[in-house]
Amino acid sequence: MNDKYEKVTPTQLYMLFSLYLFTTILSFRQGALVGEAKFGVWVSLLIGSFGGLLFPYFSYRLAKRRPTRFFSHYGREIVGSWLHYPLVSIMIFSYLFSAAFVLREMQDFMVEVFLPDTPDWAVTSIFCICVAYAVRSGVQTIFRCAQGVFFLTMIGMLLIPVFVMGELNKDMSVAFLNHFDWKGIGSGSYLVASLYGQMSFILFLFPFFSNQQKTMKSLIWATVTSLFIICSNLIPTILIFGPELTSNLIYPELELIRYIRAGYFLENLDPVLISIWLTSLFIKISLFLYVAILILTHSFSLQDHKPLSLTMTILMAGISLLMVRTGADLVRLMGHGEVMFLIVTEAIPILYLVVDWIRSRLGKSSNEKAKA
Amino acid sequence: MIIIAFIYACLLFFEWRYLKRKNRTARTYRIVFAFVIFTFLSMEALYYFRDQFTLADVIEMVFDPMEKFIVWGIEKNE
Repeated sequence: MNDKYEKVTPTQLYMLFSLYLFTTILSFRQGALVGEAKFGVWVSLLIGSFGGLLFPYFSYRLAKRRPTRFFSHYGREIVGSWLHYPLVSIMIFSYLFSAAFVLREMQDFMVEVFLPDTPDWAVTSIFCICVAYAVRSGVQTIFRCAQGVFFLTMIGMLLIPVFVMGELNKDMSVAFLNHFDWKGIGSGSYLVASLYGQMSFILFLFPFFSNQQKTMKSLIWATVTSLFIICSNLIPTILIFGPELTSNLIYPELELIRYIRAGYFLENLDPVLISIWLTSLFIKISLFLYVAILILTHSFSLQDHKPLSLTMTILMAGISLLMVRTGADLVRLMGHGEVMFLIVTEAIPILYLVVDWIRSRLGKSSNEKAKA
Repeated sequence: MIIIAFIYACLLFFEWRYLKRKNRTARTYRIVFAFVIFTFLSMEALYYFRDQFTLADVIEMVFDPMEKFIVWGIEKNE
């Protein structure tokens, strides 16, 4: 059964998740994160990322129990159809909503910074055409896209701190070791954990992985790489702008990139770096949407995901345009319930794992009794 | 609203052509068309009630009290 699917190697998995993990934090959550944790941001990143990694770990444990089957097929055997379908619907909605959320953030960014006066729907629809194409082509295409842009993105992201090295206020760096606001660090970690925990959707992609034993290893390395990239950009941002200004800037990373004055011909480097950055966002949106479509396809027991892919893409575009009234509502939502929503949906596989574990234990003991 | 209907009409035609080319079963046709119609209606509803109701309001209504209760404790409620 396993051979008919296209396979994803652990290297591809590592590359995709490395890109996937740092994009949102660097692009859109940097201000919020620094606002909460101030100089202790690196501690909250560490705690949040490894705390968040527990969600994919439990997903992995659940998926490993039936490595060749898709979760949407066997889920109902664990908790029963009556509970399984509502939970799966929540998960589909959550991934669709996450995709729409990232798309909305990206669209606001593009319209505000590069394409003023362009209607929102135009930006969204052009981006959605790319996403629909990637999603319709399947999981292998998304992972190959990630593989293709991985090195370019890494070089791009690591060049930024090198270019701004001269501007840093190095005297401020001691504050990273002696300024800790634990309450702020706690809320920062909570925010980071929700983003890292979203990797729990590996449960749905598990039969696609070629070397399943190495899944967690790839995810841990991806977490370490993404932490390195985030810190290498976040720390210079704080050292240049200070925590107060960083938390009040809408796009601190963009300001950091604009700070680069590498030479006359590199004066306007920002569109180049931002285009690299947007590619990672495209991969993230495609992956979320693909997972939502995959769960839906398996729940309906359809042969392949293609007939539903365009419908779901249009739905995602619609949700992204109509989910909030203004950009300010989007920021408000992030602090009022969205993080909890993500964490609740990430925790659903844990429920399945616990039920499955109890059932297998009970099954074993009743078997033993029957034998005796 | 008319544009949404037009997009969905194109989509329905496209999916119908795809399913026909691949010789899919009647069950697949039913599921795909029902899903397209369901999403069409949801989109129209979202668009029509966009001033009174957004998905963000629903998430905030359900999960914000939960967040305050679990994560922040009594402190933030005060």
